[in-house]
Formats: sequence, structure tokens, C-alpha cells
Amino acid sequence: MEPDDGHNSLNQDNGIPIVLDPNLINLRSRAASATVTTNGTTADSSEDSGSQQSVSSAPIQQNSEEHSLVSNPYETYGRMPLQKLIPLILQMRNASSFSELTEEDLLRDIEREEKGILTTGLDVEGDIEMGDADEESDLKPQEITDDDSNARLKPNNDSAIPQEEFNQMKREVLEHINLALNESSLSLEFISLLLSSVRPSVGVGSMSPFLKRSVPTASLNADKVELPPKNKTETLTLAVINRGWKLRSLEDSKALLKENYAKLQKSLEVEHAHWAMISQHISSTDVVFKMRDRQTGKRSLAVKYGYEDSGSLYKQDRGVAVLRHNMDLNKLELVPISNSKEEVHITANSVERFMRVHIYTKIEEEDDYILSGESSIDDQSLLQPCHDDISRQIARLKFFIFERELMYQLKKEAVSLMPYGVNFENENKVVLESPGERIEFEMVPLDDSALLSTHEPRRVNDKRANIILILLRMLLVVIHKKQLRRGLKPATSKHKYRADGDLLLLRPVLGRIRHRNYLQVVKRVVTECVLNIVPGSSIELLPQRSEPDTLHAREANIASLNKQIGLFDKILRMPRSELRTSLGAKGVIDLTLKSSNYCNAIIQVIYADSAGKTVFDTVFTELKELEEFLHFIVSEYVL
Amino acid sequence: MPQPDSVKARLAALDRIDDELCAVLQHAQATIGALAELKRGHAALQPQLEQHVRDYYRTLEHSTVALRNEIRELDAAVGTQLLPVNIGKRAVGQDQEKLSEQLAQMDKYVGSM
Repeated sequence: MEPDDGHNSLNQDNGIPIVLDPNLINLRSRAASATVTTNGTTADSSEDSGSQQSVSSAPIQQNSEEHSLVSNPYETYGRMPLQKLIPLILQMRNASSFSELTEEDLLRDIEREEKGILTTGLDVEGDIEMGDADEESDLKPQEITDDDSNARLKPNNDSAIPQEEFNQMKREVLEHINLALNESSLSLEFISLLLSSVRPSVGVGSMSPFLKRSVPTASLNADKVELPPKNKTETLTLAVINRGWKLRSLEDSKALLKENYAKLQKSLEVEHAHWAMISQHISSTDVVFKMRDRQTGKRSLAVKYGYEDSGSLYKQDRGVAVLRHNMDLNKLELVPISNSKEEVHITANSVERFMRVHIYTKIEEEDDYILSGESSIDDQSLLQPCHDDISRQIARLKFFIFERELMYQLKKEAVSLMPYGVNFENENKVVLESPGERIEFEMVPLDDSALLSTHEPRRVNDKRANIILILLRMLLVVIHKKQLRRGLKPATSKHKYRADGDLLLLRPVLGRIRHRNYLQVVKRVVTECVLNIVPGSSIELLPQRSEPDTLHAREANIASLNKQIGLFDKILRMPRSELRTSLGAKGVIDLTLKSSNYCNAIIQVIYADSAGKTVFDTVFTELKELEEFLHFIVSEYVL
Repeated sequence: MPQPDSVKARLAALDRIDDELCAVLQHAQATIGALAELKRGHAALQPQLEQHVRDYYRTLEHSTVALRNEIRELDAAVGTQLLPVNIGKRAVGQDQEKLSEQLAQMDKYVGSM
């Protein structure tokens, strides 16, 4: 008890807040004396009796209150049975029996507690130095007085109020925090004191002012305790273990290196084979570029086989394939990639299709069509999917992408040709109907059945079917070339050119078939209306006049493109036929059969009399009108 | 169509360097193995260890020198065999290729008329 008081008085003299709670230092001594708490309360009750007593008891009270910081009085006493608790309370109040406790006394006590600060204030009057100490310690004791009141109230009020419970928990947490703070401060002080003997400046630096004042520096010492020296067997065992570890790590690293060597060698083999194959199969004519393989995520090489750079505007498939090394077969594979991310592999079924032209001829009496012609597969080698030769693979891919584009453009063009007997049967089939004939353009999967049908005996229209198909392909190339030419020319709003008028695949073919039919009808009409009536009349087909090529270009590339496109002018021009019907001495009827959109028929009739003077110059679109008009001319002017 | 021989020769040289670098690992492994045996007390393995270390350094040197040579070759080729810039190659001329192919086929049918 004495040194505690000494500490406190030291503290009180200066009134400096300290890191170390002196209360904790005397914790042990406090715990030893069981009657301490009663001391505190006696001080409480006797405070007003004499100022002299309060001077000596004030530090004790403070101590007891701060002690209760560590051990909650409610915790200790709250759970006690009543028969134990009551004697304790009596002892605290210095009362000999329970009957001495009166309500008035208790109320007075509570009142005094509430005016706790006021009473200490009274103390200040008595002793200024002590007041300082009290004020300083007021920070914590404030909470503790609550505790005390709780401890006293609780036994009377058994039902737990949540608010109170919460307060209690809060207090407990605060207690723990304070405890931890005190513990760490204590250990810091201990270490600082220990250190101060060796390195005074460092030690003193982390000491609390209180410790500095109360304990002389370098007053704590420590000795290093030597471990007992190892005996011979121990040293030997340790050496053996060390050696074992070293040998083992050597073995391990050897095994690791060996493993990696084997792994590396294997991958090198693959790598070398890969590059050897690439150098063997990829030539400088192939368009190869670096690309990341989306499926494997590895860097890779890709081959471009699409016609995009050759004038194609087909955007459905960019025509790029990744060169992938097939580990299992040790072969190089070309894997076409599609634009859509989710489907890297285009299924072979949708890709490996080619266009086939079927011609069906109508059987007059049965009102049914029979297959009269079928295009053949141009290149038999396309049938065998070969994975050995990259160039063959590229050729295949090129072939299929071209066929796909052909079908795509064909369908696009066919939309505008609905009125002229062009129909879609399904997404892979376009049907072109003309009187007595039916031509189907179909995308056929390249498989054995396709191969089989080509071995059937040749039919009448096989050649025609083949030629139509080849023509379509050529016309698609011409479209590409036109696109290229457009790109080479100085830009004059390129996008405007892409009109449907440019898409000429079916129309030249269909136009020619229709034109031929029209021509036959016109001839028949002329024969019926003129030749059979007017004696000595004849009809002849005038030779086609070739229109001069008006395209001139200075740039070599454009010039060569012009020349190549020019080759197809005859096919691409709208069909036009001129018929001259001479009526002997009665003049000449010139009939011109032409078209404004390849598929319709416009008939121009010019009648000139014997003097060469043009009497009529009219245009018809209906054959019936033509017939009537010819009748009119013949009856009015010729006969 | 295979690549020209010059390209193939470079590829082969690079392959050899790969192999040598790989062999460096192999020698390192042998060296450590020999060292472990030596530490185990097989003193007779001393010359073997020395041989392995020598092999290790020799292959390492060989490969670095060869790699340097390849880099020199590459530098020399830029401007003569290689373009000093990267160009995006375009697949031009495929239209004409297709046209010629189809013309040839057309010949087949029309010629037999």
C-alpha cells in the first residue's frame, strides 16, 4: 500500500497524464486484500464526515474504483446468492444488521453519488493538490460509479433490460481495450528499462515520464543464458542431417533439370517439325500473317484465303484460317475461323458445299419435269479432304468460300427477280422457272452422294448446266474486278456505286433465256401476221452491232482491269435483237427486241414505206398489241 | 511450294541453336549429378565432373555465338532479302486466278462442242 501512495503522490504533484496506469501496478496487492472494496465505500460514506479523513482515503478510493475497471463488481457480486450478498452489502455499509439499512440512507447515498463531482469539488477546497488528482482520474471513474450503482440496483431489478445489457457489453469492451493498452504499455516500459542499460538514449526515448521519474535508468539488467554445449553425438547427427539435406537438394535439382530438359526437348521436336512443315508448304504466294488463335490463345500464323483483297465485298466470312499444329497426327492443319466468337469451327456441313446447277425439262404430256442436265464437279481432287498438303487445303477453302459467296450474291440478286420466275426453294436453293424448263441453283454438301451422281450417264443438258455455272462464277469474278477498279479510281463516293444494278449474275443468264423465247414468239407473230399474208416477204436477223469500247485509262492496272472486264461486255450487255422484215416492194418493217432490265421485253416497230420514209415508229411491251399493230399495217398499207 | 533454300538454311540453324540451348540444361543436370556423387564420397568422379562443367560452358558459348551469328545474318539480309518495314500482305490476284481456272474449264466444255 505504501509505495502505491507514493506513486500516486508523485503523480499528483505534477498532474501529468501517464501511459502506465498505476492502478495496474498495485493490482496484485489490491487483489490480495479482500476488504479493499469496503475501504472504498467507507471512504465514500465518510467523505462528508471529515476532510482530514478524505485526504488519506481519496487515493484509496480512486484506487478501488480503478481496480474495479479490471474486475467488474457487478460480475463478481451480481451472481451471488442473496444470502451471501446481503452480508457483503452490510459489511460495505458498516451496518451490523439488515434492519439498519434504511431507504433514506440508500437514497442519500444515491444522491451523493449523483453529486459525486460536487463532493470532490468540496474536497478541492480542502486540499488543492488532491483535487488535481481527482480531476485527472475523473475521466475513468465516471464510468465506474455507474458500475457501482448498477451493482447495487441489479439485485433488486432482476429482469434484464437490453439497454443495460448493451451498456455492460460496452463497458466490458472498454475494459478489455484498456487492459490491452495497459499490458502493451507495461511491456514497452519493461523493454525500455531493460534497453536503457545498454543503449540509454533508445531506452529512455520510449520510456514514459512516470517510469523515468520513478525508476532510475539502467536499473534493470539481464543475463544471457548459454545453452548447454552439444555433445559429440549431437554434433555428428546435425552434420549428417545437414549433409543429407544438401545432397537431397542436389538430387532434387538434378531431377528437376532432367525433367525440364526432357520436356523442352519434346516441345522443340514439335516446334522444329512445325516450322519445317511451314517452310515446306507455305510459299511466298500465300498470304500469311501473325494472329492469336482464339481457341487455344496461343500466338499463331494465319492464312488468308478469302477474296476480300481481290474485290469481294462478301462480309459473311472473312476467309481467314489459323495454321494449327495437330499434336496427335503431327500434322499442320488449317482451321477456318468465323467472325462469331462463340463458334470457332464452322461445321464442315455448312462449309463444304458447292453450287450445282440442275436443269429440268418439262414433259409436255405429263406436266412433270425430268432431270435433263446437271453440272459436274470440276475438280475431282476437291473431294478428298487432304490434311497433308497445305496448298491443297488452301485451294479447297478458296473454292468453298467462293461458292458460298456465289450463292449469297445469287440470293441477293434473286430478290429483285421474283416477277420473272425466280424463286427460293430454301436457303440453299434458287429456282429459275421459264416455260418448259426449270433451272435450279443449289448448294450441295460435298460428300459421297454428290460424287455418285456425277457418274451417271451423261444427259442432254449437262453441258448447258456446266456452262451456266461457269458463267456465273466468271460473272462473280467480273463483279470483283469492277469493285477493284472502283477502288483504284480516284474516290468519288464509292459507297454510292453499290447498287443492285451492279449485281449481275442471274440477269445476264436469265435475260438471254427469256430473250430467246421472246424472239421466237416475235418471229412466230411476224410469220403469222406478215409472212403468211404478204407474198414475197422475208425475214432476216440483222447482225449485232458491237459498240465501241469507250473506256480508256492511263493507269496500267485500271487499263488491264478494263480489258478483262471488257471481255464480258457482250454477256453483260442487255440482250438486243433486230429483225428486218422486207415486204418486197411495199417497204420494210424493222423490229427491235430489247430490254430495259434484262428480263422484260420491249419491241420497237419501225415501218418504212417503199420510198424509205418512216411511217410508224412505235414501241410495244405487249405481244398482243404487236400482233394487232402488224395486222393493221399489213391491211392498211401493204395489201 | 517450299520456301527457298536460304530460308530453310536459317531455319535449320535456328533449330540447332534451340537444340544446343536445350543441351545446356542436360549438361547442367549431369554436372549437378556428378557433384552430388562426388559429395557422397566417390572421389573418382572428379574428372567426370570437370568434363561436365566443360561441356556445359562449351555448349553455352556455342549457342550464344551461333545466335549472334544469326542476328548478324538477319541484319545483313534486311535491305537485300528482307524489307526493313512490316507490310500487311493482301490476297490480291485471286480474282484472276479464279477467272483463268474457269476459263480453262469453259474451254473444256465449249471446245468439245
